[in-house]
Amino acid sequence: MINRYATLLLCGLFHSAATAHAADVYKIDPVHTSIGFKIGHLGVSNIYGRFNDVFGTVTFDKEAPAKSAVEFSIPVESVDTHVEKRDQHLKSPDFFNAKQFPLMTFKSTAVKQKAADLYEITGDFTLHGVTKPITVDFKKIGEGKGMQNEFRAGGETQFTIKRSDFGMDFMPKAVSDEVTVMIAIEGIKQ
Amino acid sequence: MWMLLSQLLPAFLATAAIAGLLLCAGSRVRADTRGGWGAAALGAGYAAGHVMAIGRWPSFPPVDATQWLIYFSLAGLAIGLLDKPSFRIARSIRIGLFTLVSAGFLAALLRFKFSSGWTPAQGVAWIAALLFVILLVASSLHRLAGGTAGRPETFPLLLTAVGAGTAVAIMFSGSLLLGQLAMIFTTGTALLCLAIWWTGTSWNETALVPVATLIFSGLWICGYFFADLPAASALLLALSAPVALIARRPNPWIAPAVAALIASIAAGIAIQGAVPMEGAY
Repeated sequence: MINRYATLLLCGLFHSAATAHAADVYKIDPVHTSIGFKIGHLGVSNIYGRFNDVFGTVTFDKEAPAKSAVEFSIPVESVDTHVEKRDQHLKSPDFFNAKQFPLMTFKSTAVKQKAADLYEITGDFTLHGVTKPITVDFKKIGEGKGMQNEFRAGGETQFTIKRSDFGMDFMPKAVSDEVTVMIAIEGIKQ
Repeated sequence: MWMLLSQLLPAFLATAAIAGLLLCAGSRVRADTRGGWGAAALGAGYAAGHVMAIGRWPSFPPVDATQWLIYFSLAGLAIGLLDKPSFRIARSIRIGLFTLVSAGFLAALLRFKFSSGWTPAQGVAWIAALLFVILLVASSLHRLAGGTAGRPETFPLLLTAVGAGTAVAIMFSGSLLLGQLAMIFTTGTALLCLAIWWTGTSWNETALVPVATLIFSGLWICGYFFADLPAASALLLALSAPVALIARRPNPWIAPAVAALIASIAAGIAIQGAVPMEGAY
């Protein structure tokens, strides 16, 4: 009887250890993560900008990618287009309405491996208080040890949204509806 | 410049068309029933301009709190319609209804502050203080509207002055859209001023007070809580009507002049505090 319990306990411990090993949790490193965007101006050219702050986690399961998950938030106050007046305007109720909607968030609902180091991530993207499902291709770039012997992994994605889908439709003639978002994420294994 | 005008003009034209139509209709009815037409011109004219400015009718309830302005302009219009000599609902009931609608407006506009920023006690204190200011503005406007001493056009002129000051102050506080909404309302009040001057008689201006108070206070609150309208500017704009009321005698033109002066100071403070422009962007 005791032997049976001991066997069950050992099986349980091995199972837990195997699961913990398979799914690694990475905390997004804001210092080495870039959230950029590109938006058309007057139909003449594109303006590039970025968000200087981001936080969140990536749970990555090498053996079973479908069990992976991504979740991050971007404080809208950190928008930076290199022109203070324009940044203030972007944060105003005309666009992001940063006081009411301080965060832009993404939470994955499904992850599918498409090829080696290429994943299709579907999730809920919330911007300006409106949540819409989006699907993006995420390319894992690499992994390895950092300067302080911490383990890092990272990759990037690029996708396009229509700001009007999220209720941000002011000045459609001056500022394009389509916005291309470029995200390069680096995470530190916890 | 043309791009900016093509962005702004359709909204002003929509307001001018709707308000103009309603004011034309109002000018043909008995003078003592014109107040409802004036309120309808301001409320419906504002709603038409608001829809053109954002390019759609906002969802209900709106996701973006600033979009509540359109619904409360219509609520103000409805309360204004109850204020007519032939079918006058008891004043206490109208005041009670207006207080209830104003409290609902504040709760809808500032609901997000309860989930991030305010404790319940702070929230209740803010709502109570803002409700007091709204009622003070409404009461001052009501007395100004009822005491124009034979110059009824001075009341919409006062509204136009406050509206113009609000528009400039908010535009320089970072929100072109909210400033545009203030200009849209001001387009309606300016047309009303012309209509009253043209007909030469009173339009029962007290009927305009609910819609004017709700839109003005909504714009000041949105400017302060959602854009970067300085507190001093918001407070001065809110005090323009009460101060004009105190200073209005002996000449009815003094009230709009005082309101214009206070609104100009409020706009000046906003311009002074604005982030400097580094060329057009």
